[in-house]
Amino acid sequence: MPALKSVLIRGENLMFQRPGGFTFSAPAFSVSAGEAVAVLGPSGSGKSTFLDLVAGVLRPSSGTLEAFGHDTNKLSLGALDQLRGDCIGVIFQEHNLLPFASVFQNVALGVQFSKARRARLKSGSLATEIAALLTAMDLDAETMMHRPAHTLSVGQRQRVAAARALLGDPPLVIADEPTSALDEGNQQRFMDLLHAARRASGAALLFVTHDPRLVQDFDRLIDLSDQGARLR
Amino acid sequence: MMVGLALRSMLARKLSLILTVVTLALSVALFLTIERLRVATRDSFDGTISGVDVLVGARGSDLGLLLYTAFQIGDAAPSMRWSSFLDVQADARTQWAVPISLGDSHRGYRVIATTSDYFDFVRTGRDRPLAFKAKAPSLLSGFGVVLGSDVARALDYELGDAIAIQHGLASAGDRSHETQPFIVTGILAATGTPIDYSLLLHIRAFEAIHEGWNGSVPGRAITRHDGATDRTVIDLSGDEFEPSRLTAVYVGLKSKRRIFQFVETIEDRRRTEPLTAVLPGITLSQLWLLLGSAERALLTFSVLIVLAALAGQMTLLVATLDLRRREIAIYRAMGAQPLAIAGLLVVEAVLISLAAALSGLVLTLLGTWVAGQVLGGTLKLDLNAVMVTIRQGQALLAFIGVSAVTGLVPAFLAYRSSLQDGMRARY
Repeated sequence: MPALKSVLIRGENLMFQRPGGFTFSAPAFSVSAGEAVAVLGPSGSGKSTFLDLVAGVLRPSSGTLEAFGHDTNKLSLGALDQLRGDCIGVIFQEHNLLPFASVFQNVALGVQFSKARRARLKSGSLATEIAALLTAMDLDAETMMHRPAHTLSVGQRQRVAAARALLGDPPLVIADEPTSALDEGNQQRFMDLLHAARRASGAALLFVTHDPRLVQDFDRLIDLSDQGARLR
Repeated sequence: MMVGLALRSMLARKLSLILTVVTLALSVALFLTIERLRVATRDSFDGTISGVDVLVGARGSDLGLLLYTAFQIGDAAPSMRWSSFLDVQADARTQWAVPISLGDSHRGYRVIATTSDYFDFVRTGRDRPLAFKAKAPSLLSGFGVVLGSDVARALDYELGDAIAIQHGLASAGDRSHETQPFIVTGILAATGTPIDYSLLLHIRAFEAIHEGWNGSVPGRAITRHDGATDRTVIDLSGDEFEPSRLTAVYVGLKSKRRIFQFVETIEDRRRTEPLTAVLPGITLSQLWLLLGSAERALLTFSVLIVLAALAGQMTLLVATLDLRRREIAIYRAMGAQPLAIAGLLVVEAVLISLAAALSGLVLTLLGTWVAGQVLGGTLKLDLNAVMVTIRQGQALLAFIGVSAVTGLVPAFLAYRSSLQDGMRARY
């Protein structure tokens, strides 16, 4: 695990081109350990593409991206997947959970593909760890644990997704507009719980949103409004 | 946990999956049933007269004589003289000779007129002697009759029951032998051969009930034994009951090395009566050669049905991929490599085919058991002799293997879409 305040992710001159003319250019940026960074930009500005680049799902067409001490251009696809599984927790905008699986199974997925994250489980017991994270996200672990995911409310689903992203203490959590389907009251509650839980675990947060009201509690802001993606 | 999740994911799509499994299971069952029928037919034919070295009959077709005499199939073979039987019996190379006379029946089941030697020398299956479920002290003495297992079961006969045989294959109306009933003196254990559907009686009793007949035309009524209290002790050793003709002779030789020499001698009997000597094993091989292309065509047809069903399975998996893009995106976000996701699809295809193979096997066993109960007498085959043959087991493994290969197509598409979609499903 990287030392505190060490740089987890650093990007310079990043550009991504899709066949068909879609081009995205990112400003130079970095995310340090334990830091909360908001990525702000309107729809179509390339926020999701930016997250895919950071997570190593997409390879930049040009530029440099260093992640957790590795030059991602030199890593194979498999190694990038491994790096993502080991070091990054992900919260989606919506459809975060497998509807046919239980809450426990959904959260446990967080360490399913990473030995490193499994090894970082504090108590050594998956069930105890999941229960603690659900409680941290203000969910009743005892009654919630074995409920099928499709029976949860949207707010509950997002909190379960946050618990999954934090399981196994990944150094970085990335969130792609996870509050967009929540009402105002629930948005703030979710943000408070997420900040508290990630501070407790020491994880950095890279949070994408188009809503300027949500960025006040972050250490830094990456604004994609001017750089943006565009169709050429 | 991934297997558990894969199963839950499949359960969430259970209706389409059940329909796919049913389609595949039916095609597997069809394939297995055809193979089972093939094996049962071969076993039944090969095992019917396994202890017989040579079959001798009147000059004619080898295959026709064998099929009619041993398997009761096809047109009646011409008869041979009794004196020729005595010649065969007296040959120095002959260890035993059992006369066979066919032609009459009882309620649709064939009657085999023979001697008690039949039970001592005729073998079934892999050299298995005939066994009895029940028998009286004397089997074929007088007007005693021994029943094949299925005859006794289907007609609910027991030892001591009196039955009348009919002339030819007339099943009901014929009453020409009604005044001369036979008494059940034995019931054979099941053999899985046409013997199960036969009645065996002494060739002299067979002669006695035809006494006075002119060919197939009934003659004067024979009434001298009508009042006998125990028909199984009637003495039929008199010369008047010696048959003049018979259908064929089962022959066992002292030395197998002399089979071809013996056959040559039989076929050279032009001066007395021209005869045919058949080697059952060789003639059956000729039969399988003749039927081989039909067997292969049937098998190819059933394999094509299985392949069509597998194509259906592939279509289903491809069609559901769009619905599963979110699921796949979640796995990717958690660090799953595209190859792991492709593997998941292959595992799913294998699980489906495994379920289909097992269901198909159960369907086949159940279906052939029911067919055996309902159509046993008609098919004259033991469909349930073997649970699963090696060839069937290999076919099932091949089916699962091919299914895994067809799973590669949706797996490849999932791999490609997961690379394109990244951590979220794009529509």
